[in-house]
Amino acid sequence: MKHFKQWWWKITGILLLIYGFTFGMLIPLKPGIVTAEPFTATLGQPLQLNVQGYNTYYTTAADFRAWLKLDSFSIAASNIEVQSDQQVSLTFNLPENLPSTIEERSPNLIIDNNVDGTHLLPSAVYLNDSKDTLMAQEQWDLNAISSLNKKSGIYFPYRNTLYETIRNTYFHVSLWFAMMFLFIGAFVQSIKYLSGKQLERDYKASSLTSMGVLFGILGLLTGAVWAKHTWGAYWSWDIKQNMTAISLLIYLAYFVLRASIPDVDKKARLSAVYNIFAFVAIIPLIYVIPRLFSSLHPGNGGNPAFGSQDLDNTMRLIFYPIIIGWTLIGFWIAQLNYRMKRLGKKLY
Amino acid sequence: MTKRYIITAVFLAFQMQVFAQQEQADFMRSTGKIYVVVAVILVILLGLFFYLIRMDKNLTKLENQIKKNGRAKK
Repeated sequence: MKHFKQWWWKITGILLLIYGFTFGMLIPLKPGIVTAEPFTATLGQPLQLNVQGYNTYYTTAADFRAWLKLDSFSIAASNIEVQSDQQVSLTFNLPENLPSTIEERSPNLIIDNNVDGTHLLPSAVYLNDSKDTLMAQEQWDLNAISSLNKKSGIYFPYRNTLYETIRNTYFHVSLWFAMMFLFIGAFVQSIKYLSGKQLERDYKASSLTSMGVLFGILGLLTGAVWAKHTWGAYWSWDIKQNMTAISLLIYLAYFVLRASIPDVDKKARLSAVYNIFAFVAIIPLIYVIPRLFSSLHPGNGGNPAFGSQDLDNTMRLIFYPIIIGWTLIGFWIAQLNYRMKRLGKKLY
Repeated sequence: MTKRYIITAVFLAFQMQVFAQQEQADFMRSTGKIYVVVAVILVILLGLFFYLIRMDKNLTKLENQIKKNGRAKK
C-alpha cells in the first residue's frame, strides 16, 4: 500500500496505452465502397456499374439490394451479379431524364444486404444529358429505399481516401492533447516558481516543457506521414501545419534561452516568465487562427473539430483513453527527468 | 564519430527512398493504407527512444561529475 500513491497513475498510463493500441489496431472498419466504375453514364441508357467493396462479404450475403439515389428519388438495380466478396456488378436502367430541376447530377450509390448492412459511395457516377430536358419524376421512385439492414458489432467508420488511416486519430491527435496537458503543467509550475522562487519548480517546468515539445514534434512528424498518404504531400503549408510549427519553435526557443543564461536563479526567473508568455501565445496559434481560415485539416474553416463526422462513439472509446494514457506517460517521463535534475542539484 | 554515423544514416535513408519511391507509393496504399498507421507508430517509437537515449546521456554526465567530485557536498 506504501507504493500505491507512487505507482497507480503510472500503471494506469501503461494499461490505457496497451488497451488503446491493441483495440485501436484490432477493431475492423465498417464495410464500404472503394470505387464504382465507370465514373460517368448517359441518361436513358442501361448502366453497368462495377463496384469494389471494402471489408464486405458479398458472396455470403442475402437480401442484396442497390440503388442510385438523387435527392429523395432513386432507382433500384435491375440486376445484381456478385463476383467475389469485394466485387459486385450492378445494372441500372437509367431513366431518360433527371427527376427534378435540381442541379445535382451525381447520385449516391447505396448497397444493402443482410451481412454488410447499408454502405454507400457518395457521388458515385456523373449522369450526362439525354436528348431533352423534360423532367421525368414518374420514372424515378420517390422515397423507395426502406427496411435497410444494420451491421451489428463494433466497427470504426469507413471513409474513402482515409481507409485504415482513420486509426491515426488515436496515434496522431492524442499526442497533441497530451502536449497541451504537459504545457499546462509547465505553465502552472512556472507561475508557482515566480511566486515561491523554489528551484524545484523551475526543474519541473523545464522537464514538462521538454516532454511537451517531444510530443509536439512527434505530432508534427506523424501528421506529415499521414498527410503524405491522404493529402498528397508531407508538408502542404497548410495553416494548421504552419501555426503548430511556429508554436513548437516558440517552445524550442525556451531551451535556447535557458542554455544562454549561466546564472541559475536568473535563468529560472527569465525562463518562467518566457514559459508563461509562450503558453499564452500558442493558444491562439493552435486553437484560434487555424479555425478562421480554410484548411485541409479537420476542425478548421468553421466546422467543429470533433463532430460526428470525424469521431463516432466507437472511436471515442479508444481515443479518450489513449489521450489520458499519453498524458500520464508524459508526466511520468517528465518526472524522471525532474528527479534526475533534483538529484544532481543535491549531490554537488 | 557520431556525426559520421548520422551522415551515413541520412544518405542511406535518402537512397532507399529514391530507390523505393515507385513501389513504396503502391505499398503504402495497399490493404487500405494500413502501413501508414504502422509508419506513424514507428515514428512515435523512434521519437521516444531518441528522448530516452538523450536522458540516458544526461544521467551518465551526472554520474561522471559525481565520480569526479566525490560524494555529496554537505
